Amino acid sequence: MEFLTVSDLCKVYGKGENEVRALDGVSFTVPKGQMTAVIGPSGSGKSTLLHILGGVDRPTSGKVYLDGQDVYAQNNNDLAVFRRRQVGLIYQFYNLIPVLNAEENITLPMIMDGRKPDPKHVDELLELLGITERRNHLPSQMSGGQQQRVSIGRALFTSPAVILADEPTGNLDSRNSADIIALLRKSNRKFDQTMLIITHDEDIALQCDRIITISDGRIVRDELTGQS
Amino acid sequence: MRFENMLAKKYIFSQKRHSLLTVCSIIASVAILTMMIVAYTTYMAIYRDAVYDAKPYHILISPLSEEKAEKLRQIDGIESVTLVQAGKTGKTDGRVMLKKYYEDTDTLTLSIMKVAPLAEINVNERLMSLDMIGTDAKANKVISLTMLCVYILLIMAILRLMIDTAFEVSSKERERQFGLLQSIGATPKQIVRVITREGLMLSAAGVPLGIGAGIGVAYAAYRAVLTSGVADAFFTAEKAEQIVHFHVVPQLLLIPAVAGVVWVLLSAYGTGMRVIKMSPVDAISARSKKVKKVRRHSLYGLLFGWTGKLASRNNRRQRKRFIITILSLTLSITLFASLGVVTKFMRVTTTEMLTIYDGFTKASDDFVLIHPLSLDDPTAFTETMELIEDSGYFDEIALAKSAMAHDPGDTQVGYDINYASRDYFDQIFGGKTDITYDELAAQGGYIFLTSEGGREFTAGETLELEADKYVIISDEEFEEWKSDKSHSVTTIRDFFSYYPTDPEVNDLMGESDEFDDESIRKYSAEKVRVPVSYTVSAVMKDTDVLGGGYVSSERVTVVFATLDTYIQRDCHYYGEICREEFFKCTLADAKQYDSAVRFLKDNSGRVRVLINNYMYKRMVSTAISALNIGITFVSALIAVIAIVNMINIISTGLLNRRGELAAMQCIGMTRRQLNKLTVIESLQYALIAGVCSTGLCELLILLTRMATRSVVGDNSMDKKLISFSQPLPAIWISAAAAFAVALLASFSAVSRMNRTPLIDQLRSPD
Repeated sequence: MEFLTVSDLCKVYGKGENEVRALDGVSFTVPKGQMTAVIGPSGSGKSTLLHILGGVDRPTSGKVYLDGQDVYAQNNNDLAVFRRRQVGLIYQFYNLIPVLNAEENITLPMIMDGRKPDPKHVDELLELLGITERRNHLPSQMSGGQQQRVSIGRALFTSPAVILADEPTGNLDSRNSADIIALLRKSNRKFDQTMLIITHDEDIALQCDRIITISDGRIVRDELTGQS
Repeated sequence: MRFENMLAKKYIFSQKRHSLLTVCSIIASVAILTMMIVAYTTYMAIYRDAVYDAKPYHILISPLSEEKAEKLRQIDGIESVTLVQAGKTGKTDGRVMLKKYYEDTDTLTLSIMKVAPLAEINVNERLMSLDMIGTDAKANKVISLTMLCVYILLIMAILRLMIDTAFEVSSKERERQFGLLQSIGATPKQIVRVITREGLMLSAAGVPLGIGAGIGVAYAAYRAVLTSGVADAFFTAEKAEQIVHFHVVPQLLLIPAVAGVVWVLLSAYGTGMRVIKMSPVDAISARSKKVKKVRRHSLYGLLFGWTGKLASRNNRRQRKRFIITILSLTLSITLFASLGVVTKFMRVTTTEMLTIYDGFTKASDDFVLIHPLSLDDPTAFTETMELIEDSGYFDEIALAKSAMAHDPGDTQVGYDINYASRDYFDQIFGGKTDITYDELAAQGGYIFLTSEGGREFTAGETLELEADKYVIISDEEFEEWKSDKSHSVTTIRDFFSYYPTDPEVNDLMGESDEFDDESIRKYSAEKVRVPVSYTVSAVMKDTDVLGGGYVSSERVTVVFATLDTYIQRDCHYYGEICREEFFKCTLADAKQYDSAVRFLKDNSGRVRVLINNYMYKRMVSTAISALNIGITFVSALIAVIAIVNMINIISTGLLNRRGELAAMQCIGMTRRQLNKLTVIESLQYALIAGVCSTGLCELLILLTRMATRSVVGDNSMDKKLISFSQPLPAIWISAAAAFAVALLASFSAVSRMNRTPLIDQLRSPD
């Protein structure tokens, strides 16, 4: 059963001589629960693809369907609601809100949605992330690894349909990187979440179910790793 | 140096918008300071000229001959000696002008006293002080310059924020570039120099433009004051033209010029120091400034939920700026709100002063005139009245003649008997009495006004009383009786001695000179009691017609009749002879004030000005207008600073959080939620400033009331003073305006930010 469908996706920046095709006719599908790595050299269009999948940036042409829903048929407001309910975004530099503590950062998407976070669910997630003692700490009072865990917690908290991670370990040491990937894997298996991870790290890519390689805005290789 | 200059130039031209914002901030700050200095110098010059116009000399020697004047001219320290005719006496006075800033006045005085005796020397100390003459000149100069400097420093501290913020916005965008420069070998000093060079180049454009703009705005304000007629009210239109001039002291313009350059250098240096404090790696990777502490509980969180909590925490990130903006906003709102309060306070107290001056005189009267009683022709006032009426300068001409009467054999129970003209009658009783002027005149009766607890009267009854009468005596009798202790005599001049005789005051009040010798009448101060009957036509409470308090004692009854009755009953010899016949009237046309005063002076043989309320009211009204203009100017100035600070703080606050806000939008924050966040942030400024202004205003009112009570010692003044609720609408309207400005700034910043795709915003430095 295909959960995420990307059809002939193009993204063009600039015009005329300055035109850059960041994505050039990208098409693929992802079944539910698959953990996919997207790799490729710098400037190949990986981050652009991730942002378009996450509803952050609009494609120049092409379609993205998530669970049968045409993502870009929605207006900006619906797209924002789509992001907070259906997508969990994890960034290399965490992008946490500096004035909110760990717990507040994690629960923010649900609070934005007008829902009240279940304290039990918060406790469980903090436990899973291993940052229970840091729940009241501000981002500036945490290490990079801890901040990334909070960022993952924020992405997971609303149980979104898809988790998109843009080099989640790019800013971490090897030990923290391994922990984060293990955490994502655990979550993927526990909640049957579809995940797309952009990475430069081949070891991380090999831990995923599938590896999509992008170069110059096109998919040049798409293969299963046999992890599933 | 070449590297720093080259880079500074490149930055200026590559970031045109930011450079323009910085130059505009420099222009605005320098212009505000220039404006204040020019306003100060213009005011001081006008004040000096006004003082000189009233007394055009440092020293007046009266009389002074040409020979003595020549001797004076030889004395060191004397600039000039001018001889002028002293009235019609044929003598000449000497107007001595001293050299400005001359200090040794002790020696100078001694030298002058060798030429003219002390009794003939009149010193214009005010002009000497303004021209910095005298032993205290240096001290005065130091004091006034220190005060000016303290004032300027205060303003400068607030204004510097404007330039600071502009630099911060501009440098924020380039933190990554500065990090990069450091990483490839630029020393921190070089980075600071690049920024300070940039500041110097921008100030080279901003400072001269700011000085020009400041002078321009000050000149526009000066023209506005001239055309508004405020100056004419202080002086006459003719004098205003001579005295009121725009005055710029070029040397003082160095203050805003130097201040502008210093401001820019300090701001640029501060920004440079902040930039180099970041490690090159942090700058390149655009790591956000660490937030180490936040308030856990927030009122705004309770009121507006998570957006309120977030807004409150965001506002407090830049605590210093937040406090300064709130302070300047509070001050500005308080000043705006106090405009109405001050105006009302002045009106109330002025009205009070006018009404308590004399029971006959009301605040609405413009002039109180005296008609010298003519014993040969007791009804001469009718001709004077016609003369006043026919002049066309006056309206609502009222005349009251008064007399005192007593119960037979009891001088403790008195009757204040007034004969009112039709206009005066209408002013007092208009529509409030059952009997008309004509009916009262036809009956030859009287209206009896009693106070609470006063004596009761019945309409129709006739009272037999004794009226007071003074006896006019001849010059011979006067001289004889004066030395005879068994008689008490006096003259009309004694009466006038109660009124100011200072020629300056009389001139200011538009009054005529003193009575000449011929008008002095001598009379016995011994009263003769004459039996007179008074018919009660109507009885009223003074509270019904005069608002109470008119009848000062339970023992006194105020009685009104018509002037016709006065004439018919041949009552002219009743009453105190020293009480002249008072007219009161209003000015028909304000533009004809000068002509009206001239008319009164021309006819001073028949009628003289006792009180010139019009001049007084005009001065008060002008003072209120001037105060309003002053407060408006100052509050507008502070408002500009507050608003610019608020716009800057909100814009930079949002700009600094661009990545953070983008991240929030990426995880699902809608545009509406983002707008709500900015609305609450703006609301917080307005609400806090509104609450602080309310507190400050209420405190000021309380202090004013306490001060007035201690000065006037009259608790009844409290009721007429300002209510605590009066400034509230003005405060909250101003706070709402501040909120609207903050909203505009927020929406504009958010809208500008959202023109960039979210992913680009995410990459921008936090």
